[in-house]
Amino acid sequence: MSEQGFKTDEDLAFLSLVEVAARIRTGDLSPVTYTQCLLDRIGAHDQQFDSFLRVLSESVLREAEAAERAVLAGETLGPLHGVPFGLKDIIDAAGLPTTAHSQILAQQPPKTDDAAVTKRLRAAGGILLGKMATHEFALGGPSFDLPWPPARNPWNRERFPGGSSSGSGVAVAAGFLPMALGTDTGGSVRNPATACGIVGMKATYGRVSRQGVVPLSYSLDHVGPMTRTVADNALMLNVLAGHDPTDPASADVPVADYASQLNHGVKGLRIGILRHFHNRDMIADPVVATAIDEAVRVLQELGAEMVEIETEPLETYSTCNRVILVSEAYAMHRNWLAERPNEYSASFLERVLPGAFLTADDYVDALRLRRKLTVGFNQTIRELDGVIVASSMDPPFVIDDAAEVALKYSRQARAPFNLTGNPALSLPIGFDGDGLPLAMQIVAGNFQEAMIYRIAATYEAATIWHGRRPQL
Amino acid sequence: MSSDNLDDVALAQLARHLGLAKLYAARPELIRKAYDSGRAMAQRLQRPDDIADEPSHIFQADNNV
Repeated sequence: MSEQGFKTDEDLAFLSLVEVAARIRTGDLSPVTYTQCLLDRIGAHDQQFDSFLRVLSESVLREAEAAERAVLAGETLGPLHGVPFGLKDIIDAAGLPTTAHSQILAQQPPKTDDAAVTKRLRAAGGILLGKMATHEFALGGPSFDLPWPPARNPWNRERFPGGSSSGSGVAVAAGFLPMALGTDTGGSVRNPATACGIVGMKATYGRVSRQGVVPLSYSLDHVGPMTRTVADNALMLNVLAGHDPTDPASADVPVADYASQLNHGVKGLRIGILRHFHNRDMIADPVVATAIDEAVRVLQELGAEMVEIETEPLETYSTCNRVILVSEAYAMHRNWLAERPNEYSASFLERVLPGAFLTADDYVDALRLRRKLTVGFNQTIRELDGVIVASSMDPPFVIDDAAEVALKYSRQARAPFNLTGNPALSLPIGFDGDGLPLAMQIVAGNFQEAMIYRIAATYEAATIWHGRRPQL
Repeated sequence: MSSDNLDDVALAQLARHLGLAKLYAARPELIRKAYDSGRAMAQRLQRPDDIADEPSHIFQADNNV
């Protein structure tokens, strides 16, 4: 196949997903060359960052060769034809074990089938490059007492990369992969997206199937795409979204073309700014608050009408989310906790065990509150096209300082939208003085992901943040 | 839970009832911390005061709320 020259392998590795997919389809880029470039980069650098639990070097190259043959044969190609992807290792792939980054599942036999989302990515032509590090069962972590180390931030390996979809965020930010899947129960796609300076979407609850994904909290779990640009994310969600009757929470709602409004701008849109989460309920680091102010100013200059809004205090949402999450997680882990407690990490135990001491009325009252909060939030935003909300309240913190992790891990405003089910995207909005990424969330009404992408793409096109690369 | 200040004997008994005897025997401080944390969480939970406020049941984004 013909190859358009790239100045460096790094330039090739950092091509956007949209561009890689387009070049492969036109024969401009060999999927074998591209995949080998990523494998070389992973081989050279991932020992510093531990983003992969398993790299499928042989099978992914075989699949890349088959993809190349299909291009040459003029076959009909899917939108992700020949493009490698990574799966957080709580998502099933046929022929591989799903470890959940835990000793509890480390000896499980290989799965006999793909998760629904894995099937969708493969049906679109994607090729699986590896299984990614996570926090144990998407809840503990960062843990240093498990068979595998935690992933580290590519912008500074001493810093936390966010979790629990840590490996997915790190690998995409580091140019090891153009796309990966994460899961999000209290913010776990958006947290690593925020800390690693990439784009992470938690779509509306029910929009993306969770079949074949190890549950953490049945009523809060979401699966979401992680990419370096907004257009890449929209492309990936176009492949992932859709009704799945095998997931009891899947929504039978028509799927929009998420890339259709990317160039429509924000002129005339009414966008809310939910400031009290980060300037009253939980005081954000000034560098985060300033970056959000600046992003709001950019959107205003681009023609959006910005509207200050208020909702219930962040703590009301966060506690409600936590009661539901740990109750459901404890119910799932109860037997293993009784029989094999020593195989869990300390941080997992610390986070899940409070669920043993929540009662039925605590759980039911949390569900009652959830409904009130959901109705109230959607009422508040009903005449808005989107809402700007803080993501993390602090820049990425030191990963192996247990006290700092304990203090700052929960300083975030992502969990409210697991509770309400609204779609929420994390988008880079700058860097702090140490060169660490900062981000905000864009939230919208249910199934309004296309509008979120429109706002995000307009902001992205007007700023420079997505073009920066970490120096590995 | 009726008492938020369980003594060690009561906590050990509760842990046993919950199937956490093994963990309590090895790390009683972890169970104490989990108990305190769970009950503190329950205390912080803002409870709806109208009995007509229904739970979200099996939550679905567009047809259940």
